[in-house]
This record gives sequence, structure tokens and C-alpha cells, in this order.
Amino acid sequence: VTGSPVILGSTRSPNATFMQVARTGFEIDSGHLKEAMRNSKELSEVLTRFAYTLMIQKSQTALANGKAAINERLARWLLMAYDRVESRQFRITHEFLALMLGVRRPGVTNALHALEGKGSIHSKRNEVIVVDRAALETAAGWPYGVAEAEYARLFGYVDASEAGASSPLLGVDGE
Amino acid sequence: MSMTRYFFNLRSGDKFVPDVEGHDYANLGAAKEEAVIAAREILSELVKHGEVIDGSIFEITDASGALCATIPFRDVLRFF
Repeated sequence: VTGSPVILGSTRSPNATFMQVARTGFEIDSGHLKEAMRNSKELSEVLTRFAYTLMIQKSQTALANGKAAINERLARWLLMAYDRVESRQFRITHEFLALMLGVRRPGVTNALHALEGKGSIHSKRNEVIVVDRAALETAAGWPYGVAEAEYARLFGYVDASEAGASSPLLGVDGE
Repeated sequence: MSMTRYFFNLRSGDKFVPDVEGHDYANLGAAKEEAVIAAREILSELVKHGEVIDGSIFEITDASGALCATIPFRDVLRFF
């Protein structure tokens, strides 16, 4: 879900949303969504609960940014992407990962090399392939898991290793 | 203004991390400035997490693979 400001009562946001991976989805006019939320207590509750999980995710991101090493933060970001795109392979540039992690591009290149050395990923030009998800979780360490567990508690277990099992409700930082 | 693509390959002892992507800069000077900032960032991570600061260098190459400049990490640290 993008556009959570609408769920929380604002039709405007200083943030921008952009698509990172080509997929299909649904869209609804913000006015229609607000009307639907007024008409359905159930819809309103599930969407605000989703917005809550996004808050947890953002606080975990803030903590990771302050405390975790670049390798851990990169591993976390790749796991979060894996959970959402339902694919172990994504087209992504070092430049974009640097933007997402708030570091310089060579820091990403170096960190990808380190993760690759541990056998968790395979990194090519404009592409990252998750080779060993468990190893990637080990590399991520504590920054990955708290937000995911909270999401799973409220919306059911998320297992991206089974295609189609992850929920389309999962959101990402920066929306 | 024509831009030139430069690649920041990292050499650190036996380790070599090739820059497969590169980035476009106005000139070599601009690329070197960015390399200095990136080197400081990588060093600060190593210091913060208690790791050894070894003698890493950036080898800046162009699209043809020619070596254009080297940035030894120790040169980006400032002392009195």
C-alpha cells in the first residue's frame, strides 16, 4: 500500500512515491478511499492497522540507520525487497541502493561484495539475486525481524519463499 | 557539458572490489572529490565497528579500463 497519508487523514504529503519494480496493482482515488473507509469500519480498521505496521517499520529503520553497520542495513533492505517482490532476483542499481540507504555508492558496492563473499547473494551489474535467504538474515542481524514479526502478528505469516504467499498489503519505507 | 564515466574500484590487501556500475562526472577532479568523500564514509564505518583500517585505495578507471587516478584511503584522513 502506498498513500498511507490518506488512510491517516491527509490527502497531501511532502513525500513522493515511485515504483521500484514493475508489477500490477490496484489504485483508488483518495476521495473514494475516504468514502469507503467511512462506510466500512472493517476496511478502516485494517488500513489503520497497516499504517501502524508501517510506523513500526519506520522506527526500526531509524534504529538501524543509527546503530547498524552498512552490511546489516543493506542485507535488511534486500530482505524487505525480497518479501515484497516475491522473487529472489531483482533489477536494481548500486546508485539506487545508495539512495535508499543514505550512503555513497562505493559503500554499497563494497557491502554487496561482502555479502556475496558470505554466499548470501549474487550481485551483477544492475541486478541482485538472493542465493541464500537464511545467510542473508544472519548478515542482517537484529535490524531485520521486529517489524516483520509485528506485521505477521496482525496480518498473518509472511513467507516470501513461497510465491504468492506474501501479502499485497506490505508497504515500504519512503512511501 | 560532456560527462565522463568513472569507476571506483576498491583495492584492499588481497581484496579487490570492482565497480561494475560507475558514475558520470563532469571531470576527473569531480570524480576524485567524490572518491574522497566515499573513502571517508567507508573508513568511518570501519572505525565505528572496531575493524582494522587497512591500506585500502580507490583505483579510478575510465570506461576503457585505463587507470586515471588512485586515492589512498590514508590520504583522506586529516590531522594537525
